[in-house]
Amino acid sequence: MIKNYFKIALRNLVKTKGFSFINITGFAIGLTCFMLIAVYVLNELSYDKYPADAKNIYRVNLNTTGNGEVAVYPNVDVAVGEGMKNAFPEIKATTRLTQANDFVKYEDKQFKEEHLAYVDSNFLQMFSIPFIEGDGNKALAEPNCIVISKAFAKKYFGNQPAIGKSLMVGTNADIFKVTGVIDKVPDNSHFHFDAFLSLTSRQIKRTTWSNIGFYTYLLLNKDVDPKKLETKFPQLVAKYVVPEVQHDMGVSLAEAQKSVNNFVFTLQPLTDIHLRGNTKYELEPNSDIQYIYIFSALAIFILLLACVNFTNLSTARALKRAREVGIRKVLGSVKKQLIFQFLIESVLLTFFAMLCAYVLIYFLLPYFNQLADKNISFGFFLGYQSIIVMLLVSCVAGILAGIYPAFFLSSFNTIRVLKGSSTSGNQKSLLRSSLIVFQFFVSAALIIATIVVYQQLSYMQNKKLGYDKEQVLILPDTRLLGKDQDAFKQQLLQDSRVSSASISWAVPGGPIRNGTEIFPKNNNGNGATIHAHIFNVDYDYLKTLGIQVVQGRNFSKDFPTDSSGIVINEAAVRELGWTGTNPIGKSIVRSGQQELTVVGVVADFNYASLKQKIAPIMLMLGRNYGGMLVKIKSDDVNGFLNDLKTKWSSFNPAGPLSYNFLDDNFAKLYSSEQKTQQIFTAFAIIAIIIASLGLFALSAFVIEQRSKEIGIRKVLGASVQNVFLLVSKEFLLLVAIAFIFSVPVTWWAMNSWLQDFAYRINITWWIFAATGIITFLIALLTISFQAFKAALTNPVKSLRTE
Amino acid sequence: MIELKGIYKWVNTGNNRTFLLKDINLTVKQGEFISIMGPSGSGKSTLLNVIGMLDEFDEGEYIFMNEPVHKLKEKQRAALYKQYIGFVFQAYHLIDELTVYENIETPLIYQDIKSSERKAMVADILDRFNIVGKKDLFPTQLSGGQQQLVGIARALIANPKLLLADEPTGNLNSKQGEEIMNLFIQLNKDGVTIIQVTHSEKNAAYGSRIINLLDGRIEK
Ligand SMILES: Nc1ncnc2c1ncn2[C@@H]1O[C@H](COP(=O)(O)OP(=O)(O)O)[C@@H](O)[C@H]1O
Ligand SMILES: [Mg+2]
Repeated sequence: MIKNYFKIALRNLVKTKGFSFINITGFAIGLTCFMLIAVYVLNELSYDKYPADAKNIYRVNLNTTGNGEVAVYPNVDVAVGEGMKNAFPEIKATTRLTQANDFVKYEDKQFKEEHLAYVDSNFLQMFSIPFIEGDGNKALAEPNCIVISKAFAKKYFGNQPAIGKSLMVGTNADIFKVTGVIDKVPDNSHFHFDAFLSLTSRQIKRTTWSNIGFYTYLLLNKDVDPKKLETKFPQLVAKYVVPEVQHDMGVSLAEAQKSVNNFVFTLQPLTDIHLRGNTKYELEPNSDIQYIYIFSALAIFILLLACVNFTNLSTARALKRAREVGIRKVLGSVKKQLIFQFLIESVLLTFFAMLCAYVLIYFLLPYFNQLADKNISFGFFLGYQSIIVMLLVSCVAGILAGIYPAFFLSSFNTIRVLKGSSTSGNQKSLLRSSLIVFQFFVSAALIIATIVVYQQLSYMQNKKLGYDKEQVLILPDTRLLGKDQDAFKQQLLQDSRVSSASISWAVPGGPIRNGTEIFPKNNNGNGATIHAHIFNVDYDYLKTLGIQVVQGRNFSKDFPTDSSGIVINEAAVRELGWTGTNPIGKSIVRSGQQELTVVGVVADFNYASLKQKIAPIMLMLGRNYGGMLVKIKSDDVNGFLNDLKTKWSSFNPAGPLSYNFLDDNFAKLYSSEQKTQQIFTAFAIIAIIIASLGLFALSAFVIEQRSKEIGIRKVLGASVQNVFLLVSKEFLLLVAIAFIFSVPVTWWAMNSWLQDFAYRINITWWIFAATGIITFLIALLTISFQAFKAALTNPVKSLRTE
Repeated sequence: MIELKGIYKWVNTGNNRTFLLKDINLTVKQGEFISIMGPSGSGKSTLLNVIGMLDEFDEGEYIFMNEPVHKLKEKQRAALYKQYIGFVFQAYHLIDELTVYENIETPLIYQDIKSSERKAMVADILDRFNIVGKKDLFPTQLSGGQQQLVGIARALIANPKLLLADEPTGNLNSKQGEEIMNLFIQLNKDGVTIIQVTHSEKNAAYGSRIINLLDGRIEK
């Protein structure tokens, strides 16, 4: 019996090739999308689950309130972890990490390593990162020890054994002994370091609580409630943070006591970090749980779109199969058997689609990996778990798509069907219309989303930033020149291709390296404390970046007092409460009671991503030795770089020259938005393809059904336009309804997406207008192929009665 | 009114050429009532379709109301056709989704006639054919004779000069057929030129002239 069903189902698929082709294509695309996204989502959800105690590991975050805004830091001060562990028995262990980049040298090999971490000796054990060589328990117990990855070892030592070798780290050439080798940090980790150095090598003496800089993880005992533990942290803030604030800021005890409320330690589960850790100072840019939701929804939608095609085409074809149903019923088939037969057809179809999906996945995987920044192999899809999921999803999709047609077809009245009287009302089914609306709703919504994301992205890339990012070369490692930095800068300025140069580590779009609490010193007492970023600069910084001075002046060698002078931005003026007054000559007090005088105000410039509002900054002279910014005016950038390298070498620096361009750095700020845009574009295209496939087949079918009517109308004098309008009108109306639905939904959704950006576009009406036109044109084009064919057919053909 | 000179129509099937119409020469004067007879497959419908400009021919000249049809562009031909010709079919070919009223109104819509004018014209013809009471019914609710009546009303709604009827009584019983023939006689008297295809000697006799077709050729 079952075999018979399969045989018939197979024959039907072969007999209606066009129908099968469109359905299998749609399903294959849908399944491919679904599987790729499912794998992506599973991979995202697997982050940081690899440590044996992952469930009991928490990161200590710090929430500070200042100027009415809450800032969250994922790292805390040096003494916090140990202090907490000593205070609360719930904490089993604590470990710290602080990242670094530095030059590493072995014999004649020297590289700049961007991913180094100084960690406590128990760090790798807490994260269950296994050692290939060396003793995991002792490897980082001593100062000046280093544990490296296999790839790192290969880079420096080739095939020689790594254990026991000495590496020179940093410009001072500190010696570190290799005491362990790990394979690598797992891909699904929120950090990826190539080497771990013992934190004790840093010989940190201070035991402060009120700064930041150390990523601190706590291992809690089983069954400890982290929420309860968090409520005990204010005790420690009162004990350690308040006295520090009192001393550093020179304020009264009462004033300092306020920090108990403004200085809150919280615990974030390790497994939450990748999807919910979105502070400015994450070890790596994390993902976002929002996107997981959005992508999951999209995957399901795309699969549903394919199901819709099947449902629609099957019910549309119902008339053709009505006779078969009638005969089967006469022959004694009961309804249940018919339903079963039709379901087998749809499931069989999705299984064929599944095979096609595997082929598609094979070819698309590299692009997917690139887009999603993943490293998933095709083998993963051949694992038994993936195959089971794939089979299950195909089966469910098949049943979902086939269930309505199966009931619909099997319920035909035997006698009526055999007599050949038409099952009228079949042409316009409410369900079919709703499903078309659904398909084009999804398509239109995705097009709108794509346009909005694209607009926001180009807005961010083209917005006037308040500084000039073109032709600015960043040399991040000029500290390698030691005392020769100034001489190097002077030499550069001799070059006619250099218009300006500045020694500073503060790069717009780069990390913010320094900040402090300040308060204005007014005549009538002191104002409220605000947080300000510190840019350590030299005299040429503003000129090199083309930042505009709006009040007062830039730093000048003519004023020796400028060593305690500062230049602030307009945001600082506002937040210090100086709006409407002349800030020049006023003083601020910073942490540690240093008093500084304002000599100038610069216009606000976007030193960070446009996601963030421009916060108060203050520029100070000196203590900036690290990097250099060079503004050039030359078309021959390569020629200039070659000369630059020669010049660099002539100083015998402690390491090679590294450089990048400010505008490239800037572009990287938005790589995540760029990805989002690519993904939305891909989804929009896929949705449109599936919906169009369905519409194409459906219009072909409906037109075929109406061919006689069309013939009559032509005989009665209908023109090509009349016929065209007649057959496309209904479809286009449905598309229009779909579009109308999509407008409020996307307007709301995209506005909430834009809330993430401090500087953002307004969603304008033309985005919707454009989408409406695009969707309409695509639908029109899809239908018109069939509609024109119908309109141009000689009516004699369709009316012949033989 | 109609002049066909050496009309040939053929279809190519592989290397063979099958002739559907061969050397048709026919002149029809205004006010004539012509019956075309011939066995099944002899090309009667094809000839009627050619005359009605629904179908093309491959060779020969066709002059309709002093216009050389073979030289006209598609658009001009359509205009000519819309203005002068009405069609009646054996299978009625009413649109199932439209009521009697709407079926009859359809040709007027395609001739861009104003709504108020349409109403008057349709009301008029409903009255003439005695089917006012049926105007809101759908075709499937009518008998065959009634359906053909609607079909004829629809063909006449735009006041054509030429009525082409392809076996209009083929699906009707003899009494219904007779009624239709009487209607044709009446129309013919009112000045409508009629060309009908029929299998029935009796119905053919209603015409003023009979043309016999055999294998696509007019029998002398
Ligand atoms: N477009 C065509 N292609 C091939 N054969 C055709 C075509 N039109 C008509 N025929 C054939 O030509 C012959 C004449 O058809 P028709 O004019 O319909 O005959 P009848 O006299 O029965 O109305 C028939 O055999 C028919 O099958
Ligand atoms: Mg015929």
